[in-house]
Amino acid sequence: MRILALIKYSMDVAEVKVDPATKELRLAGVPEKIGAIDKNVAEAAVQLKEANGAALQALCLGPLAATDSFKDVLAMGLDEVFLVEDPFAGAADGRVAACILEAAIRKLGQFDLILCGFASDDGYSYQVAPRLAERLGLPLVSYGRQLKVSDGQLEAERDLEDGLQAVSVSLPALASIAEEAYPPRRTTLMEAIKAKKKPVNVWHVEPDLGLVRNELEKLSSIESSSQVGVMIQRKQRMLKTATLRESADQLIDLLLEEKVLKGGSK
Amino acid sequence: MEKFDAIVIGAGPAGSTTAYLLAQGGLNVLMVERGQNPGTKTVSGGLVYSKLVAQIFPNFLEGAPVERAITGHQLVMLDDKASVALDFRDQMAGQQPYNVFSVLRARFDPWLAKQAEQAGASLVNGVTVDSLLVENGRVIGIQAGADQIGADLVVIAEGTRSLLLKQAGLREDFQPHDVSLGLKEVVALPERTIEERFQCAPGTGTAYTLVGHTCGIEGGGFLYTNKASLSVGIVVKIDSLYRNKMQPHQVLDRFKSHPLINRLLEDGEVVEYSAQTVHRGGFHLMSRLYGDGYVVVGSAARLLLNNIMTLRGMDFAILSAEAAARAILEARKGGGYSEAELSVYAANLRKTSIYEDWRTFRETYGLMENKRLFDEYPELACRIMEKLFAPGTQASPKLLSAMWQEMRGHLSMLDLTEDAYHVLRGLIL
Amino acid sequence: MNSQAILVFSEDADLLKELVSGAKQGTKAQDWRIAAVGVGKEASALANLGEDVLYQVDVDVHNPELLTAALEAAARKVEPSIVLVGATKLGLEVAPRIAERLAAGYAAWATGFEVASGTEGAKVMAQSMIFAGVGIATHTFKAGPVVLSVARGIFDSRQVDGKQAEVVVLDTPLPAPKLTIHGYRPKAMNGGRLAQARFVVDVGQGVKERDDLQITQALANLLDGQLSCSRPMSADRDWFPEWVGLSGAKIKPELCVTVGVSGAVQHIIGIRDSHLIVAVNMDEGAPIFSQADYGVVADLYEFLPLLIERISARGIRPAWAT
Ligand SMILES: Cc1cc2nc3c(=O)[nH]c(=O)nc-3n(C[C@H](O)[C@H](O)[C@H](O)COP(=O)(O)OP(=O)(O)OC[C@H]3O[C@@H](n4cnc5c(N)ncnc54)[C@H](O)[C@@H]3O)c2cc1C
Ligand SMILES: Cc1cc2nc3c(=O)[nH]c(=O)nc-3n(C[C@H](O)[C@H](O)[C@H](O)COP(=O)(O)OP(=O)(O)OC[C@H]3O[C@@H](n4cnc5c(N)ncnc54)[C@H](O)[C@@H]3O)c2cc1C
Ligand SMILES: Nc1ncnc2c1ncn2[C@@H]1O[C@H](COP(=O)(O)O)[C@@H](O)[C@H]1O
Repeated sequence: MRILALIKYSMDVAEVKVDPATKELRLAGVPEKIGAIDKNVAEAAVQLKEANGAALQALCLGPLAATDSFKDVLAMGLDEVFLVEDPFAGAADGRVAACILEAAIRKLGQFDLILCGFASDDGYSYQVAPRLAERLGLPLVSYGRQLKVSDGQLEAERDLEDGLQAVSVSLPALASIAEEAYPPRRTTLMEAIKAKKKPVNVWHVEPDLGLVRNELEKLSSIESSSQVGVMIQRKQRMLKTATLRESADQLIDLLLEEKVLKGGSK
Repeated sequence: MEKFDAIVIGAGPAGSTTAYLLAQGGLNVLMVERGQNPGTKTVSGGLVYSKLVAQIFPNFLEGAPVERAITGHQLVMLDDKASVALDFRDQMAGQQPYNVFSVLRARFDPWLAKQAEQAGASLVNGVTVDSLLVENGRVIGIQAGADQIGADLVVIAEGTRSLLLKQAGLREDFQPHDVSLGLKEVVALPERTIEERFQCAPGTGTAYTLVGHTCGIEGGGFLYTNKASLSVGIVVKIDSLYRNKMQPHQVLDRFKSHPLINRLLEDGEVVEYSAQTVHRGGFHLMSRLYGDGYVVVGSAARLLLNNIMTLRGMDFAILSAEAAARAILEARKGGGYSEAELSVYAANLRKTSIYEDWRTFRETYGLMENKRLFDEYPELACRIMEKLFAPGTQASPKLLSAMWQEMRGHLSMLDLTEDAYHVLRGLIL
Repeated sequence: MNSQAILVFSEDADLLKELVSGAKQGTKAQDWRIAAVGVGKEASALANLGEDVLYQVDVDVHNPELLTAALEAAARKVEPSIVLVGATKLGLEVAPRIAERLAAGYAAWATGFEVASGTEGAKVMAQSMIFAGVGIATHTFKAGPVVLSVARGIFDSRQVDGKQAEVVVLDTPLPAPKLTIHGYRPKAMNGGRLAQARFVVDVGQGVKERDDLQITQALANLLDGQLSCSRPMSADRDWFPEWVGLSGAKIKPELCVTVGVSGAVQHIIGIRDSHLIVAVNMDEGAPIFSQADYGVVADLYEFLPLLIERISARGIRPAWAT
């Protein structure tokens, strides 16, 4: 069996700060790593490999700087990573990203199962899986947990808002992994050492994928974009009193003033 | 058993430098770091004395992620409200090649580790070495979890706590009075604000060494300018904290509340907090540096200089790593890593400037013991200055008589003479 | 493509109502046609939301492939410039699929849009949440249709007008789906009570043992409120059926008291619409304090019992109590 895991080099959005004066997003220096959801994707792939035997490749569209961050997923048990250098430094329309990923997948050849996250940590746009399902003409199990492969079928549960839906599709197929469905394993020193010898291959859209940069640019449906940070002004008042009992009383007084509480005496 | 020519434990400045030089020398090197990245578990005020470091890493000046070149030094004595400062601006220090830089370890350590990786060393992050494998008194490898990895030579660069060495019985217990605790915060401020507040040009900055206002605990404080943040902290003696029943963060909070420091930190946001022990350092305190199959480098061997004026650990770590790496490569030619063959390391170290600096500053060790220096003198200095510069209704006294008036009832002339002698011997002469 | 039409879809009737209302607001003075898609035999009941036409399709609402096909069929008829899809898990799968099929532009988590008629047809500008809610992007799309997914609560669900829409039954044959559904297991849920709660005690990993929830529950009970939690409390510890945040429920009580919550952005997104936020956390540097109106640096195990005692002793009640 051949399994492909899609993993994204994602920004740690908790470190994105908003400039209070200009409302600009401060993106410079925000740390990036393989997203938490995509480590779940790698774990799902490794568990399927352990259950069924499989060759596990991973695909990432991202900057060359991502190379170092693959150590962890390789140590977990992926065999090889393909990094497609992103010609638009992540700014591309979801459609353009899907187009590049599709071309890379086609170049890698036929897979039995392609796994990705339900939404990336930073993009959080839920779109790669459905777009690829359309482009590759593959059945999709979205928000998947408890994946099992047998007799050319993928069985899984779809994790929906109010329930778990049991589904199956025949392979080849695509599945997106639900949040926290496969907490990644801890890796050992030996695994990390072995991972050092596993290949990270770098491709460029031009010429490796046979795509043309200008054409890709035209494919984007977005003419122009701008962005601002979301600022919610809170009072941010810290209660500082000698005892906690006084803090409790002070808090009650403030909430009375705010008119969310009522009644009472001192 | 998987085996490497050399395993380096810890990717701090000492470990990464050793790994870099050994990989350059053609060894198959594995470096193991317990943090998720180098620099996530290490603590420094953040000044690197770079002249010698730049000789080891030729691309240091262009490539290393330094924050600011430090062109101004201030030595400040603090009492409750006032401060007396000595301002040192070396014209040479203000010009290239700079000699001192501020760095943030979260950026600096990964850069050093990257140099080692680029030279061919393998770095594994996020793995803690649990113990050294010792066979017939010889270190033959490491254990991490269930994994045992062998090596002809193990480089112990695990930093100040040196638990592995203790566990393997390769070092003595530390004496409490030789250990201080360093606490540090990084306070974010816009670049422009820093340049205005510290009156420095873009790319350059100031280092403050502060004495006093540490609740009478022996030690001192520091405040260094980074590009868009300040590193502020204290290094205080642990036994003294115990004796005074003080929590370390209380001392730091009080220190930060001093009007001078408070003003420098104003509007800043604390974005990082860290704490680590610091040794006194000094060649008489140096741990065993080598034995069959292993060497110890950096602060794991207590190779640092810690007087009140400066805390030099990173450059000592890097220089000791170089002395060790040269010895290792030489011993390798000789065919083995026995204790005798590795003894060249100690000889190399003796030829470095570390040794010179230790000799020069030998006299300051006593200073760290002298409570008056952290308590009474800063206050005294401030009172004297007050008398001189803020005259009241009475005629302003001459300096000497101002001193005399202030000292009466506080200190004996004998104490003062003795302390002055030590300060001069230790720091200046 | 017809530049004067908007197609709206959600399997959730309340959300569909919001989308129709949003479609009207977004096209304001311009005389646009609004077409809605309703699923199931009962769908004609949705013909009074204010849309001009309702396409009724009778397919299994639980199968995203069938819904994609149905929505596509409707789009081929309507030729919309904008497709608004409710951002439920189903909608978030269907919307990008439709965008691919229509070669349309797409923005997930839209928070608003505007249209301007240009020479090549309508031009769409849309705002959407980016970086998991830390920012808002404004995209100007090239000419051509645009698909937007929109979460609950973005548009108000004010009734547009009482007119009855024309109902068109869509019976285009749809291809057989590749996904087979075998069963369904409902999750234990708070049953929407959280969404309505006016007082919420929001608990995080600072609460150490499951039994300790009694303390937080006591506070909630005292002021007639509900408990909510951060993701790890539900996903890792399994103490609650659902969590609050980016990928969980969004709450907007009058008063939200967080206890032992660090204040990760992904969590804040779930509580940031609260009228007032109070934070109790031991760590003075916890990011929650910059997202709160009132902060108390304290061990929750010491502070909550005191707070409970003072509320009881002073006879305090929530402002909305009768
Ligand atoms: C508050 C403070 C301020 C200071 N200011 C300065 C200053 O301004 N300038 C200066 O030069 N020095 C300063 N120092 C001293 C300096 O930080 C140290 O001396 C220096 O970091 C020593 O480098 P090292 O490589 O020996 O050890 P470290 O930098 O401590 O590195 C040791 C590494 O080993 C890793 N490690 C430890 N155990 C294991 C294990 N079992 N398995 C795997 N990995 C392990 C650690 O995670 C760490 O990365 C300061 C120290 C403190 C505490
Ligand atoms: C893509 C993505 C989506 C996510 N979606 C969500 C989401 O929807 N919802 C969500 O909640 N999270 C989400 N997360 C996870 C989120 O990033 C945080 O990890 C999580 O919210 C942290 O939960 P916490 O605050 O309970 O725990 P912690 O971060 O562990 O914080 C516990 C806090 O309790 C305090 N504390 C400890 N003991 C005490 C005491 N005795 N008294 C007082 N205070 C104490 C501590 O100081 C600390 O601040 C998401 C993450 C990702 C990457
Ligand atoms: N640049 C990328 N490279 C590889 N995989 C990606 C990339 N972007 C998204 N993915 C995959 O698609 C999932 C959902 O991302 P998104 O649709 O962008 O929210 C992620 O969890 C990844 O598995």
